[in-house]
Amino acid sequence: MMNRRDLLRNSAFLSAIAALGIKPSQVLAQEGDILKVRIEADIQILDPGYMVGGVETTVQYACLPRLAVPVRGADGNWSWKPSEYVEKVTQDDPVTISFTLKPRLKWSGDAGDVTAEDVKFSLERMLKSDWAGRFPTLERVDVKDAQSGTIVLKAPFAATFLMGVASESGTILPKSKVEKLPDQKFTTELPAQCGAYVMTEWTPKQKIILKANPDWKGTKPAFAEVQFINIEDTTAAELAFEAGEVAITAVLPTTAARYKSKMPAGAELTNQPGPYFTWIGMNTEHETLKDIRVRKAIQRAIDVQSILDAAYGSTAPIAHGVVPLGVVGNRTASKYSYNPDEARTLLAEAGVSGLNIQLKTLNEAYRVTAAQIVQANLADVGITCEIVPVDPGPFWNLGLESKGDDWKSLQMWWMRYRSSPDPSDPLQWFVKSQVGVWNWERWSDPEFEALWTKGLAETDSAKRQEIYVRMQEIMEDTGAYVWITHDPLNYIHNEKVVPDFDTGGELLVDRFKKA
Amino acid sequence: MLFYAIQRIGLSILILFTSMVMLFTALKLIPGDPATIMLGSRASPAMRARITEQLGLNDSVVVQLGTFFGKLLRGDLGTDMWSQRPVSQMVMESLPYTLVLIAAGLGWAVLIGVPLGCYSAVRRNSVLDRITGVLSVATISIPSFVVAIYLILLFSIQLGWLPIIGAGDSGNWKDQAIHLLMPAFALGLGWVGYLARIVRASMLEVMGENHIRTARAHGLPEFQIIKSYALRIAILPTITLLAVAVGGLLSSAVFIEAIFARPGIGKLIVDAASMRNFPVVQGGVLTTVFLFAITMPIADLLVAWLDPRVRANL
Repeated sequence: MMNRRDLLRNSAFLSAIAALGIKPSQVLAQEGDILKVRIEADIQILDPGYMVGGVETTVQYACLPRLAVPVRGADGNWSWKPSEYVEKVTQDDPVTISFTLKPRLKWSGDAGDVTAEDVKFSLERMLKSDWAGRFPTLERVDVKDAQSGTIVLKAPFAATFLMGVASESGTILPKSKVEKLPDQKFTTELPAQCGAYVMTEWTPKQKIILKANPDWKGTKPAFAEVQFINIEDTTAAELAFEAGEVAITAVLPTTAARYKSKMPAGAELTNQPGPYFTWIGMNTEHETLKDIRVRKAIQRAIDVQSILDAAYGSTAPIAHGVVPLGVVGNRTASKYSYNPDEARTLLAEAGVSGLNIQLKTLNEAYRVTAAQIVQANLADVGITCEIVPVDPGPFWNLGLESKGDDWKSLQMWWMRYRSSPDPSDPLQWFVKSQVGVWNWERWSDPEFEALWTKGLAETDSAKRQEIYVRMQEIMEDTGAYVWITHDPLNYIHNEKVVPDFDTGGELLVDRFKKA
Repeated sequence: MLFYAIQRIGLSILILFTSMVMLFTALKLIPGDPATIMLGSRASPAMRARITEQLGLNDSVVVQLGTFFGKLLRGDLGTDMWSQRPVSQMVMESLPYTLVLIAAGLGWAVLIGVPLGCYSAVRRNSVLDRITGVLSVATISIPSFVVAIYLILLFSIQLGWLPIIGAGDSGNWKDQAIHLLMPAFALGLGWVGYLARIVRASMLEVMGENHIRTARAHGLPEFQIIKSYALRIAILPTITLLAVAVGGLLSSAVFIEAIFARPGIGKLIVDAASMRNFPVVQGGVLTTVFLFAITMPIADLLVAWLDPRVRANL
């Protein structure tokens, strides 16, 4: 039975709890018009010429103008459309793009109107930036009047929009403000803003707040406020979502598989084709792998579907090349398939037995899991495979001749790159000039080189499809590639939120809708 | 006493200098350049060269050290290689959160652990003593991040009582206090066990001393004997232990900071190290070493102040 002392003690405790405002069932879900979005990394450089990526892209799309934006076409491939900042933007001929901005678009503060001079300044400065590769054939931008101008290319380039104008690299900046900055660059503070949102607050390593721009004349965003919550650990982010503290977060493939079988109440899973391509590469110059029959045997010995089931929770598609889904040139079939008997035959023809191979991979859990399946598959055909997990620092140097002699002993590795929505981007790393740089497989082919040059100048989609599919066939025929997957992007989100994404899978919060 | 204090401070400066030399040497040896790690294949040779130049990585360790200490004397810890923000600013943004977390974690550990240890010593072999013994070992064994995850599952997901993420709204102390509850509990739980065992062992030793027997013989109340005569001596090893704990937790709190997405110096250093963001690593490590280097002498001086026997030997 409770005595007076107990009563006083418990009352004091309950009073303390009440004073702190702790309420049972306090689920901190999105409140009304505030959307809480989890981000993996904080902003570092918002300047499109020197950016790192991630949430920086999201903030640029939400707060800064551009001439065009990416959209997914009915065929599932990426395309573009004019943005809400223009009255028109058209490709007049293969080397000319004309644009007319809407009148009276205002920068925040005292930066005046958004003008064609700003467009000229912004695009031409990209040529001297870290992201100059996004505009490989840009020559100049001519200004016709305050709102109109022409983008002039040195040569046709089919990806001018998707890789350049409609991407984060096509972000327009206020010339009058940027010119006055030290080195004409900025990092975490936008010089001026003009978009559906304005960035109003940034607490480093914690939170970024965007608020709907009251002066925005375009389509009003669905949410009055967006809070980006910095949660680096993906498991912590998943817990935060389940506790209702964020409304949307990316999740690991295995988590996506778990959610598919048992979805949390009020949640929805969006599986979005990602910009990545993953493969196992083989060093064609290594003594063990010089014989093409050995490499082709390895291609046929690896059960890729098992890898996708175990390491990706069956959420990822099998790849047949390097061009991701939704991009012209995506390949839908390979010439080889999982066939251990054929692998054994090829090894016997090559006169090889008792082979020892090292498979190097970044030391991430799912990659090591995948490598273990590869190890088991290869053991099945008589190849002993040693898995070597590697820290990011030394891993990215493995095939670089400039970083030492590691490339000589490199045999097999698990690799993932990220691609832009144009096939020229992923294939650029496998040309002859990249041997010793990013072509760790160390091969070249005259037809491949010729197709590479032809593809850059070709603007017809059907012809580009043929060119880039053929290039991937050539890659596959070297035996140096085992295609794995195009890693999908899995997002778990509140069912009342309809997310939208750019070509790289970054969230476009200004295009989010409410269900 | 003054000479002792100067001696300890001098030793701290030497520790600081030696630590930074070791750090610079280690940073020189680890492979990987920041641009390639951040951007992968997109890091062009020009970009890598620019960042290498910017960080002074082509200079010798001696030159880099000289540059670093030269700037340090001017109060400049360098700039973050990506955002160009002063490292000192980044450190000062993160450090208070870690200090608050450590203070809260160790604070509740002291509030529970010290009385538990005293009681266990005074009521040796009682039921509570035995339970405390078992639980102490258990709590010491369980990693803090495991405790954190279970707390989250119970109080945030199951019950929905407490928030998981972040440190709370700036300026709102109530919100920050709520956000501190679970992280501080997770961090401090293991130290409850440590402190209870240490205090128990010290108290058992002291309680057998002649002056305690004399105090009892004079008829002093047991509570006063424990508080004024026994605990004052028995607590001395605990003070040293707490100083060591602060130093260790300055960087090891990173697990708690990661799970609860709290800002902190440990997380700042770990993130910077994985990205080879050398200026932030250098500035962060310097700060933690400095804090550790001054915490130990403060603990030693406190012990000397509390214990006349130590003062007499100085």
